[in-house]
This record gives sequence, C-alpha cells and structure tokens, in this order.
Amino acid sequence: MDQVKQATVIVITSGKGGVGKTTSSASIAAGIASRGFRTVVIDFDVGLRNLDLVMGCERRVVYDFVNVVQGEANLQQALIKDKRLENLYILPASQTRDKDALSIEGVQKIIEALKQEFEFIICDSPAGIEKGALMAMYFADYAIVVTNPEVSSVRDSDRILGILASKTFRAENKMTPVKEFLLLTRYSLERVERGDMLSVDDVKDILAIPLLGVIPESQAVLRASNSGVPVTLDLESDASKAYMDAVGRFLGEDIAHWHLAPKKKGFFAKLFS
Amino acid sequence: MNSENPKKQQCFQLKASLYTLTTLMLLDNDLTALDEQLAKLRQQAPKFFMSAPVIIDLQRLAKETTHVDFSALKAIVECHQLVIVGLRHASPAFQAEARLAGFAILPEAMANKSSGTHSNEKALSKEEASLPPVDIAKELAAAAETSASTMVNEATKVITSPVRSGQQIYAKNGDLVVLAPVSPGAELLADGNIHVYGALRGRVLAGAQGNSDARIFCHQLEAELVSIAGHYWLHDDLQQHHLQGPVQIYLKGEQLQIEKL
Repeated sequence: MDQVKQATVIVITSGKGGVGKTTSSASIAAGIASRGFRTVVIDFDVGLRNLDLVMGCERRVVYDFVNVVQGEANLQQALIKDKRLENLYILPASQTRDKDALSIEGVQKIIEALKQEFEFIICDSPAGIEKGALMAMYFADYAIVVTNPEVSSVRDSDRILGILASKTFRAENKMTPVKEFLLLTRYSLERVERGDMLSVDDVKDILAIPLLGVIPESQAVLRASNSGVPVTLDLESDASKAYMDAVGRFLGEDIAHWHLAPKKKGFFAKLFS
Repeated sequence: MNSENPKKQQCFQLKASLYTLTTLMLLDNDLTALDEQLAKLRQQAPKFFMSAPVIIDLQRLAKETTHVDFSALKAIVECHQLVIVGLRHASPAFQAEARLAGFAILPEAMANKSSGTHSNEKALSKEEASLPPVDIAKELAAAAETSASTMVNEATKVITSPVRSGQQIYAKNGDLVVLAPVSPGAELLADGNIHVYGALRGRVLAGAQGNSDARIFCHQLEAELVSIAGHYWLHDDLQQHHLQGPVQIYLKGEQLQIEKL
C-alpha cells in the first residue's frame, strides 16, 4: 500500500430510511475493493446493525465499533475480513448499545487508525438526522447520497445535503466542502414513464449535485442482500453492472449513464443478459 | 345559554399602570416639515420606529396657533410606523377637534401633576426635569448607531450554494441574493429585497420587518410561499398566474402583484 497517499473517507447517507444505504455501502465497498484498493466499511447504525447481514458475516462478529471506541477491544480484533475479497474489511456496529455510545472523539480515533491501513473508509450512515447520522458524516471527504425517485426521499436527501454543508469537520473548519454525489436507487423506467415515479432529471434538478449512478429496481438486489452477498459480486444482474459503473465513475472513469436512454435500454439489457 | 349565565367568570380586569413612553413634542405646526423630519429620523433609526408607542404633546406649540389639522397629524405620525397613545396639553379649543380625529385626550392631572395650567413656566421647567429628554435622545442615537453599523456590515447577503430543505437564511437589515436553487422546505428571509437566480421552490419572505417596498425577483418561480411585509401567497395562488420565466413580486397597497420581467 502506498503510504504517502491519503485515505479517503466516504459517507453513504440519505436521511430517509429504507432507500438502500446499507445495500449501497456493501456494494460500493465491494466494488472499490475489487478494483484492488484496501477498503473498510463501517456500520454506524449502532443498535440496528444490518451491514453484517448484507455482507454475510453476521456469525463472525465478536467485537464491534463501540467496543473499540471504549477501549474494550483493539481495532484488529473487531475488523472482519471478507471471505470473497481480500482487500475488504467490515467494522460492525454494536447491536446492544445505542447511538449515545458514539462521540466525535471516539469516532475520530478510529477513523485516524483506519486511515493508516486503508485507502478507502466507507461509513454506512443510519437513517435520520440525529447523532448516528451526524457521526457517520462528520469526518467524510465524500458523500454519496442515496435517493429513491420519490418526493419524500428527495426532500430528506436535500435536508441531509444541507447538514453535510454545515455540520461536518470540513464545514466547521472552513475547508473545501464535502464532495457530494447522487446515487439514485430502486429506479424503475416503466414507472417513470407511467408518471408514478420522479425521473432522473427531476431528482437531479432539485438536488443539483452530480449523478454517480442509477441503480434499477431489481430482484437481484433483494436476493443478494438476503443471501449476504454484495450485489456487485452477483455479476449477472443489471443492478450489479450499475453499481460497478457508479464505482468506476467515483474513481474518475468516464462512463456513460446507460439507464438514461429509455429506447436503448432494451437493446443494452439484451446485450448484457 | 352559557352566555346568559350570571355566574360566568369575569373575562377581564381594568388596572391602572404606569409606563415610560416617548413623547413627541410638537414645536411647530408645519406638518410637511414634520413629515420630512420624521422620515429622516426613521432612516437613521428604523428600529426605533417599529410600532413604537408615542404621546403627542402640544405644550411647546406656539400659543398663537389657532388651527391644527389633527387628521393629517395622525396620518403622518402613523405612516412613520409610530403608534399614537394619546394627546397631551391640548387646549380645550383643540380637544374637540382632536377627539373627532380619533385622539385619546390624556387628562391634565395625569399629564401634569404639579399644575393644571400648561402656561406655568415653573411647572414646565419642573416637568422637563422629571421627563428626561436626554435619555430619549441617547436612546435614539444608540438605535441609530446600531442600525447604521448593521446596515454597513450586513447590507446584502450573497449565497452561492444551494439552499436545502430545513435551512433558513435571514438577511437582516438588507437584501438577499441567492445564486443557486432554493429547495422545497428551505426558507429565505430578508428585511429588504430577495433575488433568486436558481429555481425557487422554498418559502421566501421579503420585507420581513414590515418593509412594504421590498420586492422578490426570481428566474423560475415554483415557491411554496411568497410574502412581502406579511402579505403572502401560497403555491396554489401563484399557480393561478401561470407565469413561466423571470418574474418580480411586489406589494401595491394591500395586494401582492406579480409580473414578468
């Protein structure tokens, strides 16, 4: 690992619950790790731990985030190595505690320690705008805002963007702001065309941040998260391709948004299936 | 039924209280000059004029004055956002006219404890000593100073990043310029005008402290609420005007006006 290179902290957040933060955290972490970067994904949802399930490592959790914060275990004991990708690690949340167990000092200590060993640190934020979500975003360099194409999700994402601009370490120290990206999940072109869903352009127009990717509504996502496999590792599905493209774009690659061309979608879908 | 119940509890009490109030000593009957000078003072100390209660005192008015246009006097003072509590030292000849114009006549006993006659020089000087005009001048100067300094520091607030849901931006004593979109659920407030150059989807309140000359200018109006000096329109009211593209909103009398730019 290149010691000179500064580690990048990414928060996956949304405001609203159930939009796909944890699925996206797992998928993006697996996607980045599969590109050869040493990656760790932290579950900030203390008390409602889910990331371990989605990552399929729930039976290997011994120590957790809060144990490390409180000095009951060291970082190496709490980190769980992914069985499929050698560069990927998970730091699970505590299921028996609540968000009050988190503090800025405690989180900072852990992030600083992780920065010594990893190139990408991905923070899976809990829903809401309270302490857990604030802690998850506080040290972020980048934010991926997960949004569903519906008005309530868009409004909550907008609220989170406002908080990212004012209540992070970068904002409070007048540094360059957290770089924000939009990840639109559970997108159904048919429902957009019927007028039941907001379109990509509607959402982009309101949130006014760069679009990282559009993840189609897919059975593969549900199947993957129930079987504890990040959807990016299920190479057959269109959702997997969409996440991998989003990861590519995040790493600076120029990849066209193929979901945005409705007429060609059938053609591409055939090509990739 | 209940209203005729004699046992019903009394819903108010009358009580005498003492207050320190500002007195507007009328020195000259030139109402045009009064208007001009009040306007000037109000510019220096707008906060002082925010619905401040005043008593109008005629004691220093030249004795040979035979006529005062009380309706005009009332209109001028009120138009500078002062609230008239009552009239002091009005000669009996003036009282009837003043009453007609809607003034409360403050009784002499309350106005001047030491003497019933307002021509009494002794009483006058004594009263001047008891009523500290210096303090009021000081207060005015202080108000003028603070508002002048805030005017300089916060004249126009310029926002370049999107205003998100849940955020509130207030341009105190000045204008607000936003060069980015304003999301639904965001709120812009300014004591002066508001300009929005991105899509405007939140709430905008110009003239937040009652300045009815304030205006709202925007490029794309999809606001949830627009308000000028407390007169507001909701989204549905705005939709009825079917206006696309840049518009301005201002107040004409009591009615909001919207027009294309």
